[in-house]
Amino acid sequence: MLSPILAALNHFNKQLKEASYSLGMSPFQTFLKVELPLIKPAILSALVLTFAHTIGEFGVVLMIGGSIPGKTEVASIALFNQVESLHYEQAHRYALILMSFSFMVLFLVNRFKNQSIINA
Amino acid sequence: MLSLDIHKAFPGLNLNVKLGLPIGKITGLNGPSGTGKSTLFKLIAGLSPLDAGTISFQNTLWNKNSTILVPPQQRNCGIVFQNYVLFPHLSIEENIRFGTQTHDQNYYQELVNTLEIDQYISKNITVLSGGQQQRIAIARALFQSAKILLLDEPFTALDSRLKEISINLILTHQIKYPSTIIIASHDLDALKQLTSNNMVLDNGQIYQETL
Repeated sequence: MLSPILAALNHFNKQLKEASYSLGMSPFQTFLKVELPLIKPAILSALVLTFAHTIGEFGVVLMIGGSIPGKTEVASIALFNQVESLHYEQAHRYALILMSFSFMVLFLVNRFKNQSIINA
Repeated sequence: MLSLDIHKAFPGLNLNVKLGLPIGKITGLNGPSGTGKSTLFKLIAGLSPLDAGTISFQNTLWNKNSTILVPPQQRNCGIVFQNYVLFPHLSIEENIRFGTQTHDQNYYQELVNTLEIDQYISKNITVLSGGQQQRIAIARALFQSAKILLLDEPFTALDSRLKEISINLILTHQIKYPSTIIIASHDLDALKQLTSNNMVLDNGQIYQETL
């Protein structure tokens, strides 16, 4: 989560901050009015990536939450359970959902990335 | 009076400037590229520390050696950056009004009309040409009604008609809001129209010049 945001802050155009200071803004005001809006795509990208990571998480979820149908049985665990029960058709459906979700995440991340490039 | 006694060393350049610039006077600054004009502006604006020396304005010490005593946001310096540095996430109006405490709607309108910004006021900053961005940068600096104006190559992207308009606007601004103005430019004709007080910054040293 932190690394895309830190990367965006590290590569932030220093001159924009200098322009803001020279126009009477304090460093905190500059962060709120200049830096934060311009790194918003990186923050959104970080949020989506973190969410995507948790969707695909398997071991930790199984250890902590178990596999209670309708409560803690997430898509990745359900897929595993269906394969274990040799219900491949249902497993394929879960796999399709997860794969579609991955493509959606990739699409969103690329969109935010393009937005960041425009802002830069 | 803006008093400068600046010493700053860079690889290949030692900037040594000793000057006193009164309020209400325009100073032209020219000289070869890479001799420290933009750096001098950054030092005056408090965006970079000195190695040694002092900067003071109206008897208030702004810099003493490497210590910045007055931060840039309290210096009231209007700057036109060489590459404009407009905020891409804001509208043109928000850019011009950014940070300013001045709510002089008439002056805002006067700047926008005179610099012909009104013709493209609704456009996004990122799609504007260099000349259009430069006029916004000039308007933003002038709208601050700052005590010190630092204009770094403010006419490079303007055609001769808009350059004339900008020069007249700066001269009118100077009458309306007397301030210490330094204009770095390679355009000697423009400098000649703006002031008779011209300096040359060459190899880090400043000299008086007669145009």
